[in-house]
Amino acid sequence: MPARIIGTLIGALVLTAALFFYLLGDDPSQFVNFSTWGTATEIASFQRLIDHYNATRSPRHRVRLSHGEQIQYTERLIVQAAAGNLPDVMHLDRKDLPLFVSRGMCEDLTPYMERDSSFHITDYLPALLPGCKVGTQFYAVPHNFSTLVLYYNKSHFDAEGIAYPDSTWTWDDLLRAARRLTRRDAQGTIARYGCMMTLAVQTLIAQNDGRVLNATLDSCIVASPGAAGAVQFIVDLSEKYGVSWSMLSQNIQWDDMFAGGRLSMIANGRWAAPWYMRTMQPGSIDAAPLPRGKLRRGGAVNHIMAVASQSTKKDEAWQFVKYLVSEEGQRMLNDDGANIPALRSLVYSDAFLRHHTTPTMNNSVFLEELPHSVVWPFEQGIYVTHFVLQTQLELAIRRVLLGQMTAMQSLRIMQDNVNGVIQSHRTAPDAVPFFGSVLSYVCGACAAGLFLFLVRRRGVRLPGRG
Amino acid sequence: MKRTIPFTLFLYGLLLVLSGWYVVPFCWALVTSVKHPGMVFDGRWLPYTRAKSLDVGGRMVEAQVLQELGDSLVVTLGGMPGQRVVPRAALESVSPAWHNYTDAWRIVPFGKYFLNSALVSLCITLGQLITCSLGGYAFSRLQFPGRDAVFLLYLATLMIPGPILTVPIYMLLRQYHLLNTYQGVILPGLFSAYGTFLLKQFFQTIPKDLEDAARIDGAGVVSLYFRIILPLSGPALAALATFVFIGSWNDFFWPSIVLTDPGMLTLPVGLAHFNDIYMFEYGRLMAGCMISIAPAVLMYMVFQRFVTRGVVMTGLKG
Repeated sequence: MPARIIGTLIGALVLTAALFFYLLGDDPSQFVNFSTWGTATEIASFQRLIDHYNATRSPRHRVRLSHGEQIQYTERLIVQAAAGNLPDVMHLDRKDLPLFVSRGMCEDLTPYMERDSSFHITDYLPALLPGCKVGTQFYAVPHNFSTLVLYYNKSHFDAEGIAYPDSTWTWDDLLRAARRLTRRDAQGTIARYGCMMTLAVQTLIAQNDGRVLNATLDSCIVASPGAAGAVQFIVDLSEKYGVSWSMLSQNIQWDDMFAGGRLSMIANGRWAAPWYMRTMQPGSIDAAPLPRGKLRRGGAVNHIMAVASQSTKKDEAWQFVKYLVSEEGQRMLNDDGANIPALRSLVYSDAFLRHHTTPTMNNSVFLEELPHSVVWPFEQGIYVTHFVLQTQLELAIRRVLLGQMTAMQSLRIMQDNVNGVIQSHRTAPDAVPFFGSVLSYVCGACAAGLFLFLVRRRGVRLPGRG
Repeated sequence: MKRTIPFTLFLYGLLLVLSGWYVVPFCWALVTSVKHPGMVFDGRWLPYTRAKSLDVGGRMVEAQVLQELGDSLVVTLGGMPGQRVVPRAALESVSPAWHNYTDAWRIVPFGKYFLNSALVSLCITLGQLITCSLGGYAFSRLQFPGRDAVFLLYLATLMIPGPILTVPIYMLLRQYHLLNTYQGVILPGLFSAYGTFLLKQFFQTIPKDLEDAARIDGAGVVSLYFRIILPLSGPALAALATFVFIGSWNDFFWPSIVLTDPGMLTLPVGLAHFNDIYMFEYGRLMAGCMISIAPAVLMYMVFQRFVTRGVVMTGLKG
């Protein structure tokens, strides 16, 4: 073989090896690894905060951001825990905390709080604290939250001469207004829908004194008259009253419809407020509490900060958690107005109540809803994820929409399915993966040995050479 | 069999409808990428924008649309009682929202993601060309015990669904401290049973006489590979390169598992940053999609005939 080819081959190998080692990442153990999800804007905010933190701390406190895609975030952390690779600080949704604690993934932060005189858990909104506890112990610290509210187009209400929604509104009031706000063109096609309440189904179930899971979160009890009434009402909005569009369409275009003036009322969280304000006519939008049902209930999403029990830098992680939930940290992270800070001193100040992204909006309504709120979308426990519950609820609503059965019959199917999942998770042993185990290495070595033995015995030969 | 004109017309019509099945969603995405917020689902193909004020007797008055009525709009005018019906043209005009592209570029560090995607895709493509051509050469040209059995075993790995291997590969990468590194994304993609099969099939079509002649001149195994096999396999290598490049450029799942540092993300993973679970900014999202697929589309346009040939050679789709 000519020297030129050998030289080229060696050169390519050296270059590849150099590139390989050059690209090798830093040793993760020298950082406090912080895991979060979020949009590009949110990630940029976190990165700014971390840069600021790193610039003012010693090297052993340096933090590195680790980003997970939102839809698979929970599952990703569970896989990381199985691999012994959990980030030191985890940004979590409170609904996941019982599951993570049951798997031993979170550090008990109660001792840290007790011995750290600079930290006071009472500085945070009391309604958020139960979401950070499992039993009597704190496994997390509140960071931010969002409550579901009713956004409405003020111009539409003014034009129809309807009073704006307020805290006295019931679902009947909402229906009456929606019927007046719905408009059809000459062909009878709906040109403007009255309302879109898809995100409020779970809240409506709670308001009707229904529950998806029982109090101990180990059994599905959704097949109740209250839940069936809630599902029937949501279905009737589109199928009977024609004031909303069918959930069968499976689309997520409602925000754009609302911003474009083709929808008058929508249930949504705080995360939508800055976008609505940016997109719509100034002053034409406001927020009100969700209508009342039999009980006063709302829906709240709580985000919390936890330290991984696997962390080798727990004290440093705790220091970073404190910074994340401090006034300075919360100001930096809530600049985009898409969430509500958990710190009392901040949330009851103009920093939130006159937030620069929603200056004309009734921001206090988000706070008024919190004490009455249940976990949104679902309180999931340790045997079933909210995606299972969400999928099953959507299927249940679809069966009713398609006229296949009554709401109660459909919810019974959901109940059986969810209980089946719970049962399978209660009884199934933890899977032990074969690949990567000692057994897999032994099998691989045996196969390689056998192969080498055969090659040495018979020899590699070219065709025609004998 | 000679085709009749009606049959040919029918065939072309059918193909046209089928191609529309794929083209229409792409066109929708393209148009949406220049639509304004609030106008994405207005039921029209062109990107309209709606003015927030109306010229009334030479004075600009704030206008709020209450309802759309075909070619007209029902509006209220600031400071004036009652509602009015005005032609759509008075408030709406066709105006592409090019700013979606600049916004997308500003919000997400596309430049960095482009480089990351290019690095990962090029390394995987080059790596697969090397490993698959070596494997294909060995399986098609060398004689050694158990060759066909090993090849069948290797080919059988195509039957294993990718997600099953996720956790074991993840654990292996962790053991070797390759998580959150480019190598962690690249290494599992360097070897492919499909690529080896494709090249083996092609190498078998190269006449053995050429090898025999080279062997008489003193060429060895490696020399044959470099001097005879590779130079004659340009089309097959180009087909494989195109398949692999497009596949790795568009890959979302594996990079999203391995990479956690926001500065190291590839384009498809970075694009997910536009989305909140409950909020979609369609205009910017589609603009980002258009930016991200541009290199893959370009690659396909340049190497289209090789891709077609690759499909014909193996009977497999990339």
